[in-house]
Amino acid sequence: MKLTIAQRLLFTLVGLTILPLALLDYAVQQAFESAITRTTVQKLSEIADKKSIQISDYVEERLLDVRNLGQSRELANDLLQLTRTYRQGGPNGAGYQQAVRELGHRYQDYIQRNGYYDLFLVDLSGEVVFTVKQETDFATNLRTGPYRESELGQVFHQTATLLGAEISHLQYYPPSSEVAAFIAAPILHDNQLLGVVALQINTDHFYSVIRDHTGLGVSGATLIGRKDGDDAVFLVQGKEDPHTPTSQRMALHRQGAKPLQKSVIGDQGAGVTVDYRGIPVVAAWRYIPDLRVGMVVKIDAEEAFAQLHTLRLSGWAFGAFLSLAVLVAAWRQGQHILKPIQELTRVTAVIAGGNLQERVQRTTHDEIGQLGRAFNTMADHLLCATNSLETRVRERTHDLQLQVAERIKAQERLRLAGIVFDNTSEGVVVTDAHSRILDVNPAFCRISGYSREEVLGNTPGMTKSGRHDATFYQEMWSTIQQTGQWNGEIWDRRKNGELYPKWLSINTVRDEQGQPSHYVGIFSDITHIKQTAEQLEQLAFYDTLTSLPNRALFHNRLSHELSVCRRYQLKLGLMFLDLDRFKHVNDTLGHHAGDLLLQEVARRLLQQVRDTDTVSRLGGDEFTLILTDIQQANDMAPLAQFIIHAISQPITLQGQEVYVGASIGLAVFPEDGDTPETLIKNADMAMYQAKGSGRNTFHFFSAQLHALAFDRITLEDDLHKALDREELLLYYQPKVRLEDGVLTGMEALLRWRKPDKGMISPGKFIPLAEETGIILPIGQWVTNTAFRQAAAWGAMVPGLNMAINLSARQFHQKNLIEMVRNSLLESRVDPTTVELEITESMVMGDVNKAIATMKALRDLGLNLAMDDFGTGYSSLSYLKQFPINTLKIDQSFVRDIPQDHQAIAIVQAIIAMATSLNLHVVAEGVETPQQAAFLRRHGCALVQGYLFSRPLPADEFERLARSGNPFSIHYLN
Amino acid sequence: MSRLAIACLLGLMGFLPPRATLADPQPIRVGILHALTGDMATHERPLVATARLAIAGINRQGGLLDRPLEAVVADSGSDPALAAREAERLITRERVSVLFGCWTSACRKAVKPVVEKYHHLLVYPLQYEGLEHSSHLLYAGAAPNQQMVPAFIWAVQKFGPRVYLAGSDYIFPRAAHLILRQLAHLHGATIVGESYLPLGEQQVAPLVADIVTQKPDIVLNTINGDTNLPFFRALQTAGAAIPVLSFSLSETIIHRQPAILAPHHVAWSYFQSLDTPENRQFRDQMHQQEPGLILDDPMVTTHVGIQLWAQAVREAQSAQPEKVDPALLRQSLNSPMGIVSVDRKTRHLWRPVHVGQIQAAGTIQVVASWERTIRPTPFPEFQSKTWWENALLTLLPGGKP
Repeated sequence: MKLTIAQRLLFTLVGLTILPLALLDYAVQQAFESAITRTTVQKLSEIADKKSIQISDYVEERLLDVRNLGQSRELANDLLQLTRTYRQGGPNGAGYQQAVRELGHRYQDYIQRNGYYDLFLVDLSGEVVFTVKQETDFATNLRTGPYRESELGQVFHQTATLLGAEISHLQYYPPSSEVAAFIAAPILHDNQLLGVVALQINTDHFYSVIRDHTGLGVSGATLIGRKDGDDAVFLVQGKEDPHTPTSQRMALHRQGAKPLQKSVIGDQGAGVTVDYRGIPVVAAWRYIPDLRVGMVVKIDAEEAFAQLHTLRLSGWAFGAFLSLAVLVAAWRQGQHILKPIQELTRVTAVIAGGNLQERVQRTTHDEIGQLGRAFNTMADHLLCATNSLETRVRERTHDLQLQVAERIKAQERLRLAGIVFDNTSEGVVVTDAHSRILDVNPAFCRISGYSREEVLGNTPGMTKSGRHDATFYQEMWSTIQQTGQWNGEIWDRRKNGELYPKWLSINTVRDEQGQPSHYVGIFSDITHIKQTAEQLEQLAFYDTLTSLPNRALFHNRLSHELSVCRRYQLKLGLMFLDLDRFKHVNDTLGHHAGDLLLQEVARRLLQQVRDTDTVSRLGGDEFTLILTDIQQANDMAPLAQFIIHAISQPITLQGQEVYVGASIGLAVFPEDGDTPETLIKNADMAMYQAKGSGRNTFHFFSAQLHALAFDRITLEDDLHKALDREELLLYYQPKVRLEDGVLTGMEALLRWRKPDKGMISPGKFIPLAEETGIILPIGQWVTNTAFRQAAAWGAMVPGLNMAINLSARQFHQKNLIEMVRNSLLESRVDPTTVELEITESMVMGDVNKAIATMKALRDLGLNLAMDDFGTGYSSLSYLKQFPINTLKIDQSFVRDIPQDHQAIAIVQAIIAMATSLNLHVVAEGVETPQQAAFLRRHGCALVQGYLFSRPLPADEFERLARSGNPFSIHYLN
Repeated sequence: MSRLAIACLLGLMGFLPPRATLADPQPIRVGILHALTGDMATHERPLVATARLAIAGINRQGGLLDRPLEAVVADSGSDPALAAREAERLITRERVSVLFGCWTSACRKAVKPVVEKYHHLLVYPLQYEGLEHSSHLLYAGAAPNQQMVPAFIWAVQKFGPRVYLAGSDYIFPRAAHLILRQLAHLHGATIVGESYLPLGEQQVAPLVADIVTQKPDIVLNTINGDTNLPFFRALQTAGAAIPVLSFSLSETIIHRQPAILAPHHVAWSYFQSLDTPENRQFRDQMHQQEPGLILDDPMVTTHVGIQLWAQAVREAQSAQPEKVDPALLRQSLNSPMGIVSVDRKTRHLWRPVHVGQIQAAGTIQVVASWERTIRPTPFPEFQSKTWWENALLTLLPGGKP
């Protein structure tokens, strides 16, 4: 390749910098463009979805109205009366006129109150016997008359046959001379079909839903169209006046269908496309089945991507500037290298031509300079060898001349340096080796505000901003000492106290020994550059309406905070906030008021949180709060309450007080998810739960509860199998007569031994069994087993009394009596030796029914005990009616004897009550001799508890009972 | 020089985000739960075939979310209890993202608690008796007001007000007759007779004798499965020229014995003969893959259900049931049967309905079409929801659901 050095240099620089730069610029723009396209399309989809839900909600509400009318007895009677008089004398007859005078005002009031245009009553034959407006459709027949094909006629026909409320299409209706839609419902009375009631919708209300442009910007619009044969027809178009039907039609099934054409045939989607005007738009299209119309929500691409154009322009400008800078640098560097080489070439040629005087004049300090000097030396030697003494004299003269020229040059340089020093826009400061300022230039004074005299002799430290710590300056100086220079951004203080950023470079000047003799600092004020950068950031990451971080920045912050929290094992809270009734404000006061409202809400939110928390607006009326470093999830509850309170305060907009509310969802890292996505999803879900539970409230998302529920399912499953696997056991706790220590009976207690987990606490599985209903088969097993055991032991040791607990479910079971009777028969146990224990709470619901059940159990010969007595709220009057034999004092009272006076009083009262009602009394949970002595002293005959024995397995209990030894009670005396 | 430039370019590429990973993406698993064995197999096998074709079609276009679909087919053995167990297995073991399945109401009622327990999603493709709501089902088939009610009115207007109800003895016909009785009363029609035959019964003589005695203007037929052929044959033999309108007679069955079934009527949302551009294209497409395949309403409903679900997956950018569900509730589709849309509140589809007359060649000629797609109301509005629920309880064995 025949390339000169200059060309190579140029290509290298272009290859190394401009090409990658252009590619990078292009790649960044592509990424940005696709991100903006994605978010815009997504936003429009959300708006379209919201809007179609609004429309179907609107239709649903209207259907509810007309359904209620159709079921109204009053309306049915009115229809009968109107029809009768109409048939007798026609619409002008006196009877009919009289009836209308009497009844008509009701329907006049109804449509005014509920915002309808008109109301129709139609009898079964299709005769319109009443309308409020009395337009030309009155007194026509909808089966045979002129309007049978109208939407009113169609919806009448559909309603009268299918017998369900329905809405018509939206179409031009001649009697009203405008676009109309009707809703109708059958009038059903005493299971007879009488006719149809129809309401004509006030289309203004309907259009206001469509024309709401929240979030759609300036060029945004909503189109509604319907399929008509092979065409799509506009019904409501953009922001133009929607009252006249637009007659623009577009053929379907054409290549490259427009969004509206797609939507009217049931397609739905979103994307960047071209609309009916041929203008590029971002659009989302949906089908609305209630009205059988297609809807398009769109915004001009030009507006949607305006930001993108700016960025693209500034991107290319920046690229072009850099490229130019590189080209200039390359050219200058090339010249710098080439000049000495060309000089050397020329001098060599001259010397070769015989003129030994010629020398290389321009020498630099680089390798080419060395070559030049070496060349000169060589030429010198050559000259020396050939020149005489005479020439030496000439040489000396020549040297002297050179010296003079040198001095003149040095003076010139100094003068130039002085001009530069005085006129450069960059501040220059020169210090000695001890950093004392020797000189500053005018630019220094202009930037810093200090005069030259004020700073001379001081150190540059006098303008320190205080923004940097000592380490920063230490590092700076150590860099200077190691490399001789330092460049960087640093904050300083002007004389007027204002802080400002500057770009500073410090260079060391060394003396002949290589020791630093001076330092030169050159700096420029970069305040303006910084501001520009900040403004750019503000545009990209902040919501222009509220100045809060936008969705993009929120995601950045959340990811960042989560990584911090993960590293330091901190908790983080995420709140999702959605305004209630915001749409209402937007609808009634307009878009501008909605914007003001959002700004006010943003202000209130910022007032409620700490500086370290991030409040963002995701769009629409959605806000998020990232709460860092919270101690526990519950810390967020008061904050959420404060926020709800703050937002629910009245807001004055355009002189009117409005009220909005907020629904808040809360999720906590790491309990509710450890990635930004799951946290966001869960907070969002929680927010929806909050909305669902009545708005103006907050709701936690708790994955923990979910997990608990899952544990429960496992346990439930195991419990189901426990019966079959014979993992359930009965233990028996002895009941002792205090008088002589004789064993009088036992209480059967349920235990669950799980092969892999050992004994499961009854407190854990019995409530679960109750809840799921497994308690019924388990209860039956308990009863059967205990009865059989009682029968066996009764034969062995007569007089033992078996107590068995009944569960609430069992007690209320329909076939309880039958089940117990079968059990008794099958086990052949003597029923008088069995006592069923029930609790107070079981009998408190339907007392009479409970008494009946208890009587039936007594009729079987069984005894009944009231368990855990004292913990419920039994009234004495009920207690008297209960056919029970025994009261059991709950162990919670016995445990507190004899320290707690209240417990003592209760136990005394229960014993006294039992005695007066002639009931046995048994104390549970007796653990100390003092307790036993106290009970004995106060007349409680029977006790059970660990003082005597813990509950025993069947075989151990049997051994105890067989021995016949009384329990030792002598120490109680 | 140029080598240097290339090196620079390659270096820069390294900083660009990777386009796509080369590893095979995990497939999205789709559960298909139908009877491959037992009484219902002849009815349900075509639905499995349709589902497979629909899934293959989606895979040919690149799958969903850059992942292929994988059909996981389970055999319900025509047994509701087995269907429930298989549904649980598909959800917990096979980790499917959605279930398409069931034909009978008994199957649906058995699988419903399972999908509800796991917060999963079942798409049910059959027309049924209505009177039900579950937030984990998409009822893709017709509700009573989208098939029986309009067809009933057409029949009474065309043939006369004396109506005879004949059905199989299980929940669907009994509930259907309950609704038709209410409707007949309100429209001034008379039910002159009502009979039930056990499922699979071949002894139809007493029923036909009763019909001949009563001389109704029209017989409304909700007999399901194999009893239909003997019934129509006996009716033909008896020489009674009484028109029959059937609600559960699919085109697949009709094609086996058209001579016996002509010129009676059936009501469906879809007939293979529908002459719309969408249906022509669909029919050609299916016949390209499976020449001679008879397409009927439950098959096309299965197809539509899968397409709606696929649209929802694309929109939700996820196949997880809890994310797909909200998107599913706002889908519409320009389908072979016309525009169908999911009704958010009832979780049913807006559907069209036609009455067709069976031709001796087995094709069906549309004789009446409801002009507009019909809003689903699974609980017909002419009685309250509570009334229907109580009435339904009395129909179920033992009076309990």
